[in-house]
Amino acid sequence: MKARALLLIGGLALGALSLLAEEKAPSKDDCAACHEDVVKAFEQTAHGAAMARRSPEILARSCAVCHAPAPAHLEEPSTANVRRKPAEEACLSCHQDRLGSLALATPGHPRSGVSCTACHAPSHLVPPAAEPMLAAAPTNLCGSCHRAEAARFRLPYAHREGAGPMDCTRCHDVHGLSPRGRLSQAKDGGVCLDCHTEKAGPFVYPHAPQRLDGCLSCHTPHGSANPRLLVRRQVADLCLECHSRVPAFHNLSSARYRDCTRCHAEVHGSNRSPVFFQE
Amino acid sequence: MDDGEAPMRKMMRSAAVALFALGTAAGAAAQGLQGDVAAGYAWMDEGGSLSSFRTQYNLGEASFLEALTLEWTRPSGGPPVFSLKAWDLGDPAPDHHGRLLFQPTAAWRFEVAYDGRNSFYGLQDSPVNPRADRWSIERWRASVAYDGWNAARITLAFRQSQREGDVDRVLYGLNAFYPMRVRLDERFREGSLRFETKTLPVRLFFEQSFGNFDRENRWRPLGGRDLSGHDPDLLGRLATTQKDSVDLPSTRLGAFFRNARWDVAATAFYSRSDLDSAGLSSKVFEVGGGTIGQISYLEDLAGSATQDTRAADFRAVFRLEGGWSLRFLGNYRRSDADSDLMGLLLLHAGRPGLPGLTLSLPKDDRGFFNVNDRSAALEAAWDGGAFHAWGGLFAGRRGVDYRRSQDGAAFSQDRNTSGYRLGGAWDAGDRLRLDGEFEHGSFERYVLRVDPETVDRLTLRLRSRLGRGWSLSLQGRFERADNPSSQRGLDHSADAYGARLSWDDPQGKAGAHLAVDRNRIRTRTDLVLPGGEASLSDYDLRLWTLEAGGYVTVGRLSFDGTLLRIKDSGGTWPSSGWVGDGRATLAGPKGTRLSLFAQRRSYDEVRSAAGDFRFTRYGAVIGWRF
Repeated sequence: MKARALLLIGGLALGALSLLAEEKAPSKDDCAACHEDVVKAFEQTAHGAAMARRSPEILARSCAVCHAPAPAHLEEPSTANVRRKPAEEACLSCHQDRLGSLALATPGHPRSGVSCTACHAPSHLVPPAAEPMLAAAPTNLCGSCHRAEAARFRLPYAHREGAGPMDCTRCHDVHGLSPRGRLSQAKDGGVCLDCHTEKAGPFVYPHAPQRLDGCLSCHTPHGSANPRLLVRRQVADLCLECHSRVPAFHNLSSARYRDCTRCHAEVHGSNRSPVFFQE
Repeated sequence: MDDGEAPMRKMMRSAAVALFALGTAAGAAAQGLQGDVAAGYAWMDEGGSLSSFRTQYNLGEASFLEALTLEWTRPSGGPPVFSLKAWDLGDPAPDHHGRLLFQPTAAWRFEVAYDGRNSFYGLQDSPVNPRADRWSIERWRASVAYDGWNAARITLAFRQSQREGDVDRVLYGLNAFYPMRVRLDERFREGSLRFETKTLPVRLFFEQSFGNFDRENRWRPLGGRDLSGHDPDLLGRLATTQKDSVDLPSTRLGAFFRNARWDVAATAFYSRSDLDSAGLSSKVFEVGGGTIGQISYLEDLAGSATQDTRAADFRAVFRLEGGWSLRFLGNYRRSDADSDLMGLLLLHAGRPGLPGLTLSLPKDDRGFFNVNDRSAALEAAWDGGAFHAWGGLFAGRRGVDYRRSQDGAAFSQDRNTSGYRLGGAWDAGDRLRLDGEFEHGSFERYVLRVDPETVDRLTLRLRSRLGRGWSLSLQGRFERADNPSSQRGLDHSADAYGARLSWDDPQGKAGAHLAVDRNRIRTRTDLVLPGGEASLSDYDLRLWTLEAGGYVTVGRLSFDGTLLRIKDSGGTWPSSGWVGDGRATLAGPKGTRLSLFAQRRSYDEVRSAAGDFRFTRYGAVIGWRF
C-alpha cells in the first residue's frame, strides 16, 4: 500500500515537474546553445548591461520576453515560430514610463504601425548608430519616413547644428513626457519657445496668428528660402496676405516699405505698440 | 559687432583645453575609467560672400574639441557612475554641447546638460536695411531624480536659457530711418518638481513648474545720421529703462492605463502667466543737426498682461475581437488673456536754451484675446495580420474673441471643422510594407483671411527590404488647400515624392545609398495692395535633391562621405548648391586614430550674385580611445 502511495505521489510530482518544465520560458543559456554569438553580443550592449543592472533574472529571460519563441522553436528552430522583432508589449513590460504617452505625442505613429522597434531596433551584433539604441542618427531615422521634411532642411536657411541639420529630437518629443511635451501642450508657439523664450509672451499687444496657431503661422522651421525661415521669400507678401487694409502711404515700389519688419519690428507681440513698432 | 561672441568663445576654448587635459590625465591614471577624446583644427578656403555663408552655416577656421567622453565604472562592473560628454567645443562650430551624468547609487541620478549657440545674420538686403544679428544663446538644464522607491520616482529639475549679444535694427523717426543697436539681455529660469508612480495599475504623474523670464534690452544710436546720409536731422539720444518680467507657473497631470483590452492616456495642463512691463523710453532728435532745435519723445508706460491656459488631451483605444479596435481622441485648449497699458507720452520741442513746447498724452489702453479650441476624432481600425485598414471622422471647433486695443473693433468668430480619414496597409513582414492614407477636412467661416476652406491630403509609402542588405523606399505626399475668392482666393498645393535605394553590409562594415527627392510648393493668394489695387502673392518652390553616400571599413582605414546636389527651380527664388562631406579615419595603435575631413558648401542664386559662395573646409582630428 505504502509503495503504491509512494509511486502515486512520485508520479504526480514528476508529472507536475514536467508540466512546470514545459511552461518555463527558455533562458538565454538555452538560446545560446544555437545563438551563442548573438547572446554574447547582446550581453555587451547597453541594453543587456541595463538589464543585468536591474536584475540578472531579467537578463536571463530577456531572449524569451522580447522574441517570444513558441515551445516548438526549441524543437524545430524556424523564423516562423519566433518573433524576430519584439512586439510593443515586450518593450513596455519594462519601459512602463513610456506607457501611453507615445500615442498622445505622435498619434500618427501607432496609426501607421510605427512601434518601438521601428526606431529602437539595432542589431545585437552591430553597435547602435546613436543613443538611445537608435538604428540611425535621429535626423536620418526620422527622415527615412518624413522625407519632405528632411528635404526642406536642404534649403538655404534651416535649423542647423554645425554643418548638418539639427537633430529632430531637439524639437520633437516623440515620447511626450519631457518639458518639451509641456510646451507643446501650452501651444502659442509650443516647443519653439524652449529656445526662443523671448517670443513666449504674454504681450500687452499680441499678434493674432501667434496666439492662434503659434510660430507655424508664419515660419517653416525645417527650411526656407527666407533667412528668417518665413513661409514666403518676401516679408511683404506674407503680411499682405492677411492685412488688406494697409494705409496707402506704404508705397511698395520704394525699398523702405518692402520689408514690413523694418518698422513693425516687434511682430511677435509688443508691450508698447499696438502696431508692433520697435520697442 | 562680434563682441557678443567673444566671451563665449573664450569660455569654450578654456573648457575645451581643460576637458582635454582632464581626459588625457584621468584616462592614463584612473582604473575603471574609459573615454574618448578627439581634437583637431579646421581650415577654410573662402570664396564669395562670407556674410551669406555665415548666415547659413556660421562655420569658421580654428582649433576645436570635436568630442570628449569620460566614463567611470566601478571595477566590480555595473552602469557608469560618472559620465561626461562634450562635443563641438571651440570656435569653428556655431553649436556647443555638454552632458554630465552622475549616478552614485541605483537610486540617485544627477544630470546636467549644456547647449550653446552663436547666431549670425549679416545679409545686407539693401543699404537702407542694415539689419544684423550677433548674439549667443546658452541653455543649461540640471536635474536630480530619486528612483529608490518601488512605488514612485521623483525628479527635481532646473533649466536656464540666456540670450546675450547685439542686434542692429532701424528706428523710424522724423520721416527718416536711423540705425540703432539693441544690446540683448534676456534670461529665462524654470524650476520643476515631478512625481511619477510606477506600480499602480493606472500610472500617474504630476509636475509643477515655476518659470520666470526677464528682459532688459538696451538701445543706443549708431552714429546718429539717418541711413540715406542726406537728412540734416540727427538722432541725438536713444535710451530705454524698460524691463519686462513674466512669471510662468504651470501644472501638468497625466494618467495612463493599458491592459489587453484598453489603452487609455490623458493629460491635463494649466498655466497662468503674468507680464509686468515698465520703464522709460526716450528719443531725442537734433533738427537740422541741432541748429534749428530739438524734438524729444518720452514714453513713461507700464503694461501688464495675464494669460490663463487650460489644456487637456485624451486618447482611448478599445480592442475588440477579430483584430478590430476603436480609437477616440479628444483635445481641449482654452486660453484667455487680458492686458492693459497705462502711462504718459510726452513730446517736447524747442531750441537750446529757450523754453519750448511740451505736449502730453495720457495712455490708458485695455485689450483681451480669448481662444477656445476643441477637437475630437473617432476611428475604427482592423488588423488582419498582413492587411491593415483604418478610417474615421474628426471634428473641431475654434472660438476666438479679441479686441487688441480699447479703440479697436472687437472680433468674435466661431469656426467649425469636420473631416474624415481613410487608410490601409499591406505588410508582408520585413520584405514589403505598402501603406496609404487619405484625409479630407472642411472648415466653416474664417478667423484669419488665409485660413483654408478645404484641405485634402494623400500619403503613399512603400518600403521594401529586397534582401542581401538592399532596401528600397518610395514615398509620395500630396496636399491641396483652398479658400474662395470672396475670402482670399487661396490656392495651395504641396507635393513631395522621393525614392531611396540603400545597401548595408550585415556586419556594418560598408554601405551605400542613393536618394532623390522632389518637393513642389505652390501657393497663390490674392492680395489687396496698400493703394487698393489687386495683386497676387505667388510662392513657387520646386526643390530637387539628389544624394549619394557611402561608408566602408577596410582593415584600419574607414571612409564615409555624402554628396548632395540641391536645386530650386521655382519662380520665387531659384537657387542651387552643392553639399559635400567626406571623412577618412586611420586607426592607430593603443586606441589612437587620425581623421582627415573635408566639407564643401556652395550656393548660387539665379537672380543675384551678391549672396553666392563656395567654401571648402578641411581639417585633421587626432583621437584617442582609452
